Amino acid sequence: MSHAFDFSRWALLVARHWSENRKRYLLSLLAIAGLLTGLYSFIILATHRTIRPNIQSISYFFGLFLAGCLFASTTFDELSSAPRGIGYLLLPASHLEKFLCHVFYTVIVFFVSYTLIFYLVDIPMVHLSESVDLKWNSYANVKDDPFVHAHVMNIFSNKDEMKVVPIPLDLNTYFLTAYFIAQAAFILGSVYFSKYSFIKTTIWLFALYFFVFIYFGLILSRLAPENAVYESLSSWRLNAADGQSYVLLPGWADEVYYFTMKYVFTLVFLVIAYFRLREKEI
Amino acid sequence: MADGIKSIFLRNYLEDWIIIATLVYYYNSTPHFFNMVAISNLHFSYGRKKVFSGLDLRLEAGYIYGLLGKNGTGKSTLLRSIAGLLFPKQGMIDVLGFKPSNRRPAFLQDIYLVPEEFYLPDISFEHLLKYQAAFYPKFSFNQFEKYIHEFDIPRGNSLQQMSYGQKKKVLISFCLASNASLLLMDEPTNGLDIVSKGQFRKVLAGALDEQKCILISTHQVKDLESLIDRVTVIDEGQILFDQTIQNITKRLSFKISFDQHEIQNALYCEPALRGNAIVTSNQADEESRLDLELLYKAIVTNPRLVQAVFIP
Repeated sequence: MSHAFDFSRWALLVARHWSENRKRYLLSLLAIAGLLTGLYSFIILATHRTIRPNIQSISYFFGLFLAGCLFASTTFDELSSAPRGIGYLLLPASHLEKFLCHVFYTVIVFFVSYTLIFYLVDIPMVHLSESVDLKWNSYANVKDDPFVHAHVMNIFSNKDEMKVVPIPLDLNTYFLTAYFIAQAAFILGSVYFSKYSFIKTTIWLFALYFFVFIYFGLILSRLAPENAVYESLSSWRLNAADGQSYVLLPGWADEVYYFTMKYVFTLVFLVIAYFRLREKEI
Repeated sequence: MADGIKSIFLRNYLEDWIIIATLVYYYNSTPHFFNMVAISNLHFSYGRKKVFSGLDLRLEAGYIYGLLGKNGTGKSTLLRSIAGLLFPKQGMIDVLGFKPSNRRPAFLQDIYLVPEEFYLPDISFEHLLKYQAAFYPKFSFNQFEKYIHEFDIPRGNSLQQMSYGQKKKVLISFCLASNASLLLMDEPTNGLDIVSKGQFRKVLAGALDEQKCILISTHQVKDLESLIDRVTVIDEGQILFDQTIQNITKRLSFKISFDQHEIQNALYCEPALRGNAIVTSNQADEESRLDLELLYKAIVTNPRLVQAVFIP
């Protein structure tokens, strides 16, 4: 048996985690389903219209960010108290197995479960809203706001989305990427902060965001020529009396930026969390 | 001539050197169990507050050690350091041939810590055995059932529905049934009623074998009487006293005395209901029953005098 990773021991950890937490997880998923149903019911009652893909998209990502980050901040909840932490750290499994077990539940199981629950609520509610819209139109005979057929949003496709952010990523991909980065940050926070992990990590993330904002907004703008407007990570727009011109960095600069955004941040946060777990003392 | 002697010396001793080097290599590359726990020059502190400054300790298999000391002297810190929950600032801890701070699975499978404050999840007995026992290769289900029976713990209830004392007895049963080589117990009798304390002593005495070492930290010294083989007293980050029960009863005498001369020359004395309870040097080779509480008080109040008795 390897002391670093043994699959059968990891599988046992996964089974043990489920036996200890299944009640909490199943109740949480029921609560999410209830909240989504409540939200959609309110939208249908308030608008009498078919729920559009952009509303579905906002609902999906709002719930994903809120529930996902809250859940991620409880990933290493065992370490928040000495009695639980002792039991957890002394369980005969390697740090890597324990870490991957938590990442499996927080990252994979949560994402799959949340998406399934979302569609279990979304599909019937969107079709319900379509029938409400149809009836409302026949009664009210609204000409400036005609009936719209139900269209269930696909979060893995960007066809339904308009490009509203000036980045070479589509909106759904952009939000999903941002979600996995934020979630990894909250996993790291759950190892670092024994108490009030969600609040403390949120404060740190805002501080980080503020630093990045200051860095790009103030420092880089000062480096650019006068009348230059910072447009994206690799482009400036120059406003002049005779028109506009652009300063663009080479194409690979964007690729490097977005590769870093998509994979490196998440990976770095998770690797730091793993090493922090190894060094944890109680 | 000198070269000739040198070559004979080298030829004659080369094989010996190879054997020694091979032995040293195997000694260093495989776990060695001469001492279950070997601590040398341990330094530990919580921030600026020093707990240990150069502590040395050896624990061997086949013994139940009683670790005594005042509150805040580092008993729990020592247990946690041995278990790999706290990392030494300086010095070396070797447990079963492992460095505890690495917390390797093979090491964790062979130690078990019953902490003073513990947590048991809200699961049934069956789930505890199914998902927790599987991590301990030497775990015995029969032994667990036997201990549960001896402790009179009702089956059927989930762990969260049990009282604190019942949970503690489940944890102690699990600890013993794990058959880990090193069992660490921090105040195990806290929260146990009088009957349960008796059951605890009985169960623990029956669980010890030559492969195991049990270290019990407590300040309820009466609970350990007639159970431990060795007394280790820790004070201000140092081992103040470390002797076997056999040696203690051979060198010290515990009795009630009315003799003023004897009382004045005692290592420790305190008024009792009748006369004075004293600890004296056992010069007349008398047989007396060890009173752990008196011994502990004698060590804490007059450490040098007590230690002097044990110097051969």
